[in-house]
Amino acid sequence: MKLPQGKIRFLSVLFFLVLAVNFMAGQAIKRGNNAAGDPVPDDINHTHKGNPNQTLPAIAGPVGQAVVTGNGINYHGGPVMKGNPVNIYLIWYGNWSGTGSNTAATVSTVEHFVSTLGNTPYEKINTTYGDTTGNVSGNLTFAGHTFVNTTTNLTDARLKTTVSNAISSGALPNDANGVYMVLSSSNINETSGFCTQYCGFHTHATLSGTDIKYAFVGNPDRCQSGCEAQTTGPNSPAAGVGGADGMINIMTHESEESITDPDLNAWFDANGEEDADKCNFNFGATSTCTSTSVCSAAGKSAAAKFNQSFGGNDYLMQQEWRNSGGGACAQHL
Amino acid sequence: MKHGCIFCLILVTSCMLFAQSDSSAKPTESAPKPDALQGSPKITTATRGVQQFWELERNLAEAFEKKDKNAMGKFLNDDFKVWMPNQTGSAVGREDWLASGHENPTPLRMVQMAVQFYQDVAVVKFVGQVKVEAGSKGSPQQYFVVDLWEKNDQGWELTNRYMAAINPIQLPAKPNGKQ
Repeated sequence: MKLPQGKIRFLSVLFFLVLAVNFMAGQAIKRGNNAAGDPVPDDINHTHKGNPNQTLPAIAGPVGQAVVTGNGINYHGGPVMKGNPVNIYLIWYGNWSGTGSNTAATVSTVEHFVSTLGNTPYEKINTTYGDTTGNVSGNLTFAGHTFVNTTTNLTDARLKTTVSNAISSGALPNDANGVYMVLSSSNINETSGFCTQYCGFHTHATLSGTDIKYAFVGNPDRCQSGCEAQTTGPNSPAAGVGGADGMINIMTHESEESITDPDLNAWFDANGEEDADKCNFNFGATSTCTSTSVCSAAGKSAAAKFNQSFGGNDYLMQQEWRNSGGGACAQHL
Repeated sequence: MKHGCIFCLILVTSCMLFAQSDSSAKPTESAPKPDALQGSPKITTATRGVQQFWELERNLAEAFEKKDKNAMGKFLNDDFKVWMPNQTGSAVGREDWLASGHENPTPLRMVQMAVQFYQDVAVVKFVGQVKVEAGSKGSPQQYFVVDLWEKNDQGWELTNRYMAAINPIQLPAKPNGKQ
């Protein structure tokens, strides 16, 4: 039976539309797969360390440029944390009423640090990172804490449960704009590799229906040679008690990366190194605690080093990779 | 007739869309299990020891790849030995190892490094993967490596390497730095 011309034309147009929709659907799926990550190089080059001890001139932050590339770190399509501020929640795990650096003094020092870090020239380095909808604000705030008094060592699974329990119990809010940091006292081990493989780590998980970003930072007095730049820091209460300053340095690292790569699919380079990894234990130019510094008495006696001063305290904090001006480890934007 | 043609078109299109979405949703065989007790996906901050020995091991591997005996010699103790599973249980001594080629492979890609210090001795473990030659097929060979380094006045020297080939483990699709 021969079809009329009109019907043939109608069917042709319909067929074309069907093919077009199918093609577009296939393209969308392909884009999703490509966002999963770069190809794995056959060998990893870890020689990219930035420029230690380089004093960089201040560089204005990006304006209206959410994704800027070509500065030694790559964007992989995922979100960054754009909260203004990002909320930092602290879960003190172990015994923080003990001795050495496992004390209320450390808790106070660390929480003061978190409370005053937001909007500092250091934190503003993070504003050079963004996603397709905007940039990191460079602002964060100490939003709350809880204590888990225990002698039980941590595992990766127990760490996740600790964060989950803190949220589900109401001790801390369920906050997609938050970074939850589990801080363990020095008598606590994280058996997946604390002190042998790592000093801390960050990751994320769906907890109580929310994409929760969380991190682990152990008290580095547990392994001073592995996770501390100096055993007596600018805020040490006594010689050889460097846990608070050591934790602050590692917390800086984990918070920077939780904000710029929260779901492990945003900013990292071809070697898988995130912005703080590229400057790990790289402090740049430092000053020495002297009698006129605001360092603790122990810090002054030990001539402890520092490279940041804000909120009435001195700190030794690793540099962070600045995603502008060609890229480099920097102490400020 | 008209309704039949339209129905066929819709059916064909649905099948094509279903086939594409099904293949894209298929999980990779080696995707890490987020709920695993240990080794959950995470980005770690390497210890100072890992940082230090990553560079040393990397420099040693590069010198081996370039067949630079002078450079390799700087890292190796005079009594350096490589222990690998073999019929006799014998080690390969320094000179034989320096002169060797593919019989004594040196892994280049390193992951999962951990370092433990015992005074002047560092125990360094990692999983190493030999360099993949262009155009080669199949999975590159992986090794579980434990190196003993000793510190002296000149720095760190490698005294013993314990190395065994392993069944391939899935390395992170996204490299995790020095994890």
